[in-house]
Amino acid sequence: MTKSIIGLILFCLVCFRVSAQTKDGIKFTFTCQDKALKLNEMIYYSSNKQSYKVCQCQFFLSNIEIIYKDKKRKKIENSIHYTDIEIPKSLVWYPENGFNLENADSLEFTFGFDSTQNRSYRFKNPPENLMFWPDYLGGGYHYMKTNILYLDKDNNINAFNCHIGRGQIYNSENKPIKYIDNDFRIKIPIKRVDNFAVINLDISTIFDYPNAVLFSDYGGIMNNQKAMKMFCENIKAAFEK
Amino acid sequence: MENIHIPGSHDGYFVPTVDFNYQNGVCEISGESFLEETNVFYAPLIAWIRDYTKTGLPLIFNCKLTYFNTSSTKSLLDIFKLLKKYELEGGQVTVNWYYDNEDLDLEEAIQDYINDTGLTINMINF
Repeated sequence: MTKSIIGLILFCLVCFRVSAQTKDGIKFTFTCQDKALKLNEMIYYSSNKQSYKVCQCQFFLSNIEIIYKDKKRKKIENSIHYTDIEIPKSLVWYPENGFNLENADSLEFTFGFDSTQNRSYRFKNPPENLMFWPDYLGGGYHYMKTNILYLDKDNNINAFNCHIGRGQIYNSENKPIKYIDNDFRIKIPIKRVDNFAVINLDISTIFDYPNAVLFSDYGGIMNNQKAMKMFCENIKAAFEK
Repeated sequence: MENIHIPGSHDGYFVPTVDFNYQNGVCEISGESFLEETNVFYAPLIAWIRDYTKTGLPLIFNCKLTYFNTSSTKSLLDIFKLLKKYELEGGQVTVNWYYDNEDLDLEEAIQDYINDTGLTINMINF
């Protein structure tokens, strides 16, 4: 009798493990100039011929939907996902209620958050709460932080931070009179690897295409809506690559 | 000139459906555009329009694209610039974009084309 019970428990454990292994998920990967990204190595060149290394990359995606070949959509509930290149567990995501990749055609998501979701203080703990966007710049959270170091024309190392969030329009007294949500939707064909749909971000594209960036043209961009809009165009292309 | 017909597909990439008809001067592109080699796909379409504009005949361009990636954006801009050039040279050009007016991203993209090219694009909800 005892043996039967132990056998049953072992059987259940094996079944559970198999089921956990075969669950479909989303994997986040990073490339730079079409190869796997190497962090903290001064080996990359922008299209404007500036040498740089990538130090950090964090971003939020939300409202993720799987679109199937029959055009049906599966919205992943409560789907706000934080990805940090330096936090391995953030690079694999099994949504709470699960989803099935069989017959999946494409994946659609919001870069950042929509205006109703982008509320200050919604995240209580790190690392998500460290993405806060200052209230005087519109509040809410960064959609993305990509930090690099580059060599300037005198071979000095300088920082460039591509930080994207809510934008501002200023009056003549340099006071914000309007805020702009810079979130946008991206749709990509499903790239499936085993039980994962892969979302890849090609970092070099953020600086090269369709707008070629000269790092030295910018200080911070968090209060520069024109620059953030331009980087958003590049970030869209970076997810499409 | 020969007509162009390309059936759309969603097989790894999104290939739009293309129908360019020399007999009635109607060019239509629909579906979604997310291609492996965007320039290779659009170059013959741009060449076809360029050849057609040499005839001096009216041209109707119906766009029913619902999604296009960044590199397709650039190719579409090339088409609209070409149509504007034809119009400035005296050609009769009508451009219609059939879209869901709840799709604000698409609406903004169409407005950007209007602003960037000076072309009149009739935005038709459907």
